[in-house]
Amino acid sequence: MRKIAFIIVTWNNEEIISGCLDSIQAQIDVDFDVYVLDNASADATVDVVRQYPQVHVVESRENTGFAQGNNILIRKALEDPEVGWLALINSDATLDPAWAKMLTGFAEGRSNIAALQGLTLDYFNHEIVDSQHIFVSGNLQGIQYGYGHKTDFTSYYPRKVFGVNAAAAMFSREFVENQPDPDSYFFDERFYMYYEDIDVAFRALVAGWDSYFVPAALAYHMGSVSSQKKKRDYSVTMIARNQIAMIFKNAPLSVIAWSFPSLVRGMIGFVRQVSREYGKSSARTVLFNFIVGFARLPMYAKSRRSIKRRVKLQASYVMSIMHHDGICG
Amino acid sequence: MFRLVKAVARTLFPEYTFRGRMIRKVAIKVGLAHEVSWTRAYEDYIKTIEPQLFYAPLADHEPTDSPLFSIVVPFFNTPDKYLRPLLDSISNQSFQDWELIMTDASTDESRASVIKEYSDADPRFTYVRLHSNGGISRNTNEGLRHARGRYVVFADHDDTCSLHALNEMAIVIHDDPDTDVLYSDEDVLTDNGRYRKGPFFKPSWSPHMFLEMNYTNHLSVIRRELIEQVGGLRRQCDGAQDYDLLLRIHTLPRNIVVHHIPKILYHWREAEHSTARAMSAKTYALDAGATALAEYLDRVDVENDGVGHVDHRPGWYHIHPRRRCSVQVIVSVSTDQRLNEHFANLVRNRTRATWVSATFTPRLSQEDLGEFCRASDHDVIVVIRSMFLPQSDDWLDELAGVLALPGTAGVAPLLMFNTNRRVVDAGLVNRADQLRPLYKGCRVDGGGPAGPPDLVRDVDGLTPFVVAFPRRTEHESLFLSQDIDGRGWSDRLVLWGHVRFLMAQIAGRDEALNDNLALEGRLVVLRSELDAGKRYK
Repeated sequence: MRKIAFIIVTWNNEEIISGCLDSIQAQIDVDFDVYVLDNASADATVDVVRQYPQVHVVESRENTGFAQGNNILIRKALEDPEVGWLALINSDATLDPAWAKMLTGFAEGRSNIAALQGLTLDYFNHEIVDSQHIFVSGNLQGIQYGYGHKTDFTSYYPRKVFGVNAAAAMFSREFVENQPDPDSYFFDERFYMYYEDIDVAFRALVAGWDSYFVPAALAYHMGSVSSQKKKRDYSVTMIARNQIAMIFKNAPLSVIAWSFPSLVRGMIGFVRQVSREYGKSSARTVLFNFIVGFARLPMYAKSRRSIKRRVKLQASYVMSIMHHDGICG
Repeated sequence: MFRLVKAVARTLFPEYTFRGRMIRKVAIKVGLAHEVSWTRAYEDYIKTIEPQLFYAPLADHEPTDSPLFSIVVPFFNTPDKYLRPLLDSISNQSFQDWELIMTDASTDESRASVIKEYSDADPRFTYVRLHSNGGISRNTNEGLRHARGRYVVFADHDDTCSLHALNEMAIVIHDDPDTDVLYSDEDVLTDNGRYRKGPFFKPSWSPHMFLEMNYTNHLSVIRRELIEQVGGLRRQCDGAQDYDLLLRIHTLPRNIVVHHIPKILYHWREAEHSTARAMSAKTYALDAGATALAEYLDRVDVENDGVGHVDHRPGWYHIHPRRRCSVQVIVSVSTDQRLNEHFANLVRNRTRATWVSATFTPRLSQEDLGEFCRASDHDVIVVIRSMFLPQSDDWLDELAGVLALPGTAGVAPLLMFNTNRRVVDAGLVNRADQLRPLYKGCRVDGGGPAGPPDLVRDVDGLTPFVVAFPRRTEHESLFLSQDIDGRGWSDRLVLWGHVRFLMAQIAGRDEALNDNLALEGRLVVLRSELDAGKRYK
């Protein structure tokens, strides 16, 4: 059985990080290592992590962000040749003891797997789903499938999906080592935070890799703990900027052309929603960030070309997956 | 020329796009196109009704070594754009206990290696490489040899299934373990896989309709034991091999239990080379189907006049079962005996019976008709109770022949207006515990989500206007002058759409009795009946 490397990036998480690490220690029937990178926390996060003996800790001198922090850890974990799976866990997520066992068990006999995700439930209320998978919808918005739905265990079954939510997901070594894009090792560091997992998902999908949703593996996620400590409208501005980059990096040209009107409509809707919830000045920032997103596009041109070279899926099939809630077939 | 214009218009304004919709609206406004109201309704059905129809996945059905279903798909140089959606739709089934057997007879080695690569995606996929292409039947048989499942599912390499297909099938099998054959409704997928259209909501098991077209395909599920019993698919029926297989299974000396799942579980891709788009292109498939039907008729020992095709409906067969017998045609259209005699003459003039010997009896009273029929010494009784005239003169041979098919209690022709080609009567079906008329007022050559009106159908009831039935019938209601209620009978009532009767409206009863008109010997059709179709709607 191949080793699993649990990868966690922390930033001021002293209250919650022990819950996450405890649930990893409790994993049954699997062989694993834990890697933690601390993004220069001001609180006692590092001290809490250091109490766990088997954890490899990396202390960063500056805040590298979610994407770069994960990349550093992935590089480090892959130095160990026994590591076959990279389990990316957010510091605000906890796992069911059988989480890793269920996912690796499902992967047996299947090749070509990019990523696996269990059923991620809301940490505070297990009756509510946090996410089943993520996908890019017909109007080019990144969406967490199942978010806010009532948990209904009778209706779930394992299936191939658009991509997985990096809050608690497992990526295969083969996929991570076969990244087409020379500009970003795994997560695109230019994204800094938000949408980097959907970027990876889109990249994996068009290159013909398989991602699965495995409902037998349970995880619990709080959501947006780190970014809440930043400014209130931080997440929406990052989403606005990164959405544009994610689409123009990965989407086939015909998909962009076909969906462009609805993308514009979606952007206007997003700005109006932000204006309602966060106020006019946030809406202006979001609008500005959309423009920044477009202005940054030349930066991604090289990535787009290299991703394009590896495309295996027909644009029409990508489109039909997008229209079917990110469920393949 | 018109065809060319149409083709250009189709390319410029594709269906299911905004501009396609707009141009269609304009065309309907100016009268160039007919409104197909159910196209839009089907889009709503997909969004709102369909998701609620599917059952939750059956619990405790993990993959096993002896799965419930073996899906057999013969691949042949399958392009990626069809391969992936099909494999994903099978791999993502909500029911887990199945296996997929992919037989690959690709002549292009690079294609074969790609197909092989995809076959590793799921441990339940079995890849069988065939080094020579022996045609679809032999390739499928090769796959059947590896099948371990209790039931076999056939699918084509360019189509896709609904993700709940096997689960729905498994639930029916769970409820009735004696099930032998299962089939579901289907629709058509555009070539790029984006849109679903053209649904076909099928009736429950209709053996007579099955003799007109292979309507149970797809998705059909057959007990593997039965396939082995008849010896698998046959090479000489390539193109209609599944039709031939089912026809042979249905003549096995045992009761075949067939169930229908009234949900769309299969999406037939409108690929350039697929039968969904150009049925006429596959003439060899049509001929194979005709051969299969002819052999079926031989097996069930029905004399026949060969198997033909329906000109305006590619893919439909017209079997001509025949029977040598004597037929009594009772004409009782009026309370006036002179009119009855006159009408009986008209019908006789329009009848050319070569297989049967016909006697025409005008009859005034309908009350003792039952007694009269029983006392008759003819084999088949035809009762005409309303003023309809046959469109073609071999109608009597045809109706008497249909009664020779196994399990037929009575048969009626399709009744229609002669002026606007709309249906007067196409049988009655059971809806909410009542017999309701089917397709009344619809255009005969039109289409619809439940199949066109002129399809041969097994119906629940018949109107008594024109009916043919064998004399020694145990069904009392055939003799009465009310609607014939066939619900609960083991034998079927059939609406035989190949025989059509046209309404013969007489210009007023009194004038019909006018000697001049009688001498003239023909009926005058009221022009006002042109509007009758609207009234019947």
